[in-house]
Amino acid sequence: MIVKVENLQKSFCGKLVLNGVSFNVEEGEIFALIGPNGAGKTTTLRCIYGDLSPNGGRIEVFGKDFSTKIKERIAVMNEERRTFRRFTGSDYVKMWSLLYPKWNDKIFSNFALHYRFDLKQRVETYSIGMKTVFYVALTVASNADILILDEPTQHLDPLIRNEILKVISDYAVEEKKTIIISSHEIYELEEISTSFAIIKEGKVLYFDTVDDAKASHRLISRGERVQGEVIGLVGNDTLVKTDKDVGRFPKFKEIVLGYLGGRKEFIPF
Amino acid sequence: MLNKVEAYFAKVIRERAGFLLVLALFLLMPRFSWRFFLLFLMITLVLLPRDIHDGRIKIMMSLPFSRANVFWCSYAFLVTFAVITQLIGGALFGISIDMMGWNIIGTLIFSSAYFGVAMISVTLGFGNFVIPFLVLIADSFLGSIGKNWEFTYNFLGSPSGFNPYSMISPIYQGNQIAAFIFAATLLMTAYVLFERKGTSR
Repeated sequence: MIVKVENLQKSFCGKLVLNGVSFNVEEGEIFALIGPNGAGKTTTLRCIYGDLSPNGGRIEVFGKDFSTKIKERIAVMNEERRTFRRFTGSDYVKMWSLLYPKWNDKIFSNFALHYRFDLKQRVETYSIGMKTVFYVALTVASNADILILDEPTQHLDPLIRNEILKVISDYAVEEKKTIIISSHEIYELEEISTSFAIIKEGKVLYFDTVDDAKASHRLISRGERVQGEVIGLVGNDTLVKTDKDVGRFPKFKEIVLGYLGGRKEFIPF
Repeated sequence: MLNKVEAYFAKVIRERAGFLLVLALFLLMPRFSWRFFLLFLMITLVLLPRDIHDGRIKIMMSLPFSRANVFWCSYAFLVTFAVITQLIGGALFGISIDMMGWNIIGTLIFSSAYFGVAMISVTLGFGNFVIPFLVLIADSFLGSIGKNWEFTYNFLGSPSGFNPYSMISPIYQGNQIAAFIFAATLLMTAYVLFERKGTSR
């Protein structure tokens, strides 16, 4: 197990943001942390890479309690795409190559050529989409054992989005690295993630591998007899957790929607 | 660790090159009376307290830096900058080594104390400038009251007009050992607080 999060708690100014978050990430997995805005995804990630100190719970990385020594093995793309003032692309490359011992210049150059990064230009003046791709390039070229990517496809056009998803997937499969992604883009996560946790209001509602989650749930149409634990409504159907052979197997997005939506139905008219 | 120091120094110089150049020109003057105020501006507007206030500390923390790393790298930059400008200025203007030594010690005491004050303020969520500036004004006022030497007695033989605060004041440094201990206490308090509390957002 490469990352183990156990009963993580975090509050800001007395307001509880994470309330007992727990999940595990195995080596070589692409783990997706899925949830709506404000669910606690970014806070969880910030706790994992040591930006925030949790108020309770435990985080193990590489089988040990988190310590700053292991940060060289973790590369992070933060959600806000904040950049250092006046830093050009070259300045970033120099800084990252100093800080990451396994930095690979060739990988970065490939990104730079393909996406035509102007390394003399200040990164703060890049478009938001270009900043995202630039950060992906930095994290992948760092050759870190764990990549933490917060909303890695936000602001990307469909073609680049597709390429970036493939890069992320290949990095995990071919380089045998672990990737933790936070996102609410459930459609694209289905394509690449191997395991996931659904987080809402600071709590993990469910975590599993994608394959096991699909195998242990069924979607039952209205009128069919419900067998198993009712999770939530997905359109006109009901998502249940069961080992009985009823209904049909759900898609990944239906599992996520079932957990996030719960049993409440929205009827505006 | 040296790579981290190099990366941090490069970051500060790259981001604030213009401001640092102007500061350096003024700090080169050995008897420049606003030296402490310029160092105060550097602490509050260039270094870690400003990064925390602006939220840019998040970028540092997403890199392989610990809180201890950024705290001490920022302090090391301050000390290096203050000492080097003083040494160069002293050499250029022909200041004696003794005088230069005392000036450097005074600068280190002031820098440590106000780096500590600014860090405590920003870590507790009170901002990087206003509260430290009020502390600076209070310090300059309180330290100026009375006398800052211990051998002034009134006719009854008790100390007359003696202001004990001026002994430890980071500006007046009536007793450099006492002022050093006070400054080190502020600096370590700031470090412990930052290490435990981190950023509040």
